[in-house]
Amino acid sequence: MRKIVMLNRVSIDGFFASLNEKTWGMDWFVQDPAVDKAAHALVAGDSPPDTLILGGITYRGLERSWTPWLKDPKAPKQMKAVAEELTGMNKVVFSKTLKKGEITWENTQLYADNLIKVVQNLKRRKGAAIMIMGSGTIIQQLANAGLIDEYVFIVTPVVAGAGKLLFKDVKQFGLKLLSTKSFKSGNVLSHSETVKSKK
Amino acid sequence: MSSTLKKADWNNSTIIKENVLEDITKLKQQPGQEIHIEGSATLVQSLMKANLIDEYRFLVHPIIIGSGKRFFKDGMNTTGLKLVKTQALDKGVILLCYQPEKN
Repeated sequence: MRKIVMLNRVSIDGFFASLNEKTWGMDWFVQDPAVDKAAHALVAGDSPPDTLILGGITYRGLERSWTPWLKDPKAPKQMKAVAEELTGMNKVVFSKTLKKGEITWENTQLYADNLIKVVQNLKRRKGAAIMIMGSGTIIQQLANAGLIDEYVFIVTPVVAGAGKLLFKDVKQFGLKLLSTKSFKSGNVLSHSETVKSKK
Repeated sequence: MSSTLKKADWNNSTIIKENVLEDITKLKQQPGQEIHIEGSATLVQSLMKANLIDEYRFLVHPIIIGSGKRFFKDGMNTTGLKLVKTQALDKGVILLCYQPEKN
């Protein structure tokens, strides 16, 4: 079984995004390349993920932010590397509003429904780890179905006060803390795994 | 701090009914050790607004609840918090300490 790893920034009060669509909800993020690097290493572990699960909003944001770097000869090396990495990954998108014709990014599959079934099949297939980021409503459904194996949080030194709650109305479940690391930027990176109930 | 509590018989207890911010400011000026607030979300929010809190300490437990009482109400927001300490404790609890940056 392939594991699914979630990566998200969270404010101290539990939001993963603001409600501001113009910034893709990223208003209060405290950017820090050292955190990005450590989070990337944590998610990649021994075998980097080859698949990305995304909701429609996060997919749109990523596509619009990263695909322009692919064709830009002036793109900074790092930007281009991330853009190429994301382009190479299998992107599995769940959205009821996105249309097939709107999707221009390579290696993208669009599903309107059957989230749980599609993800269960995805986990059974051979391959590297599966990653999910942003995509709050998808995470909530997958968490409730017990399909997410690991959680990586970038705890941001901000009380956001409002926004999108990461675990809105999720059924209670336990985590086992694997590691934490703090950064000068005030971000704290924490890595946990789901506590499996013994059956 | 309570507008409804009539009496507090427990040793060394005082009830403050009004002028909370004034009284807390006075308390801070007196000699003594740290003043702690536990729980008391409504009070914390008033003190936050008045910039009377010097440090926030959170114990993040390794559990997802999904619903319940939120510590910070909608609209209570603050940036410019400086991370001053983190510590992973036994059983997966993380201690996070932040101080508001003084302007």
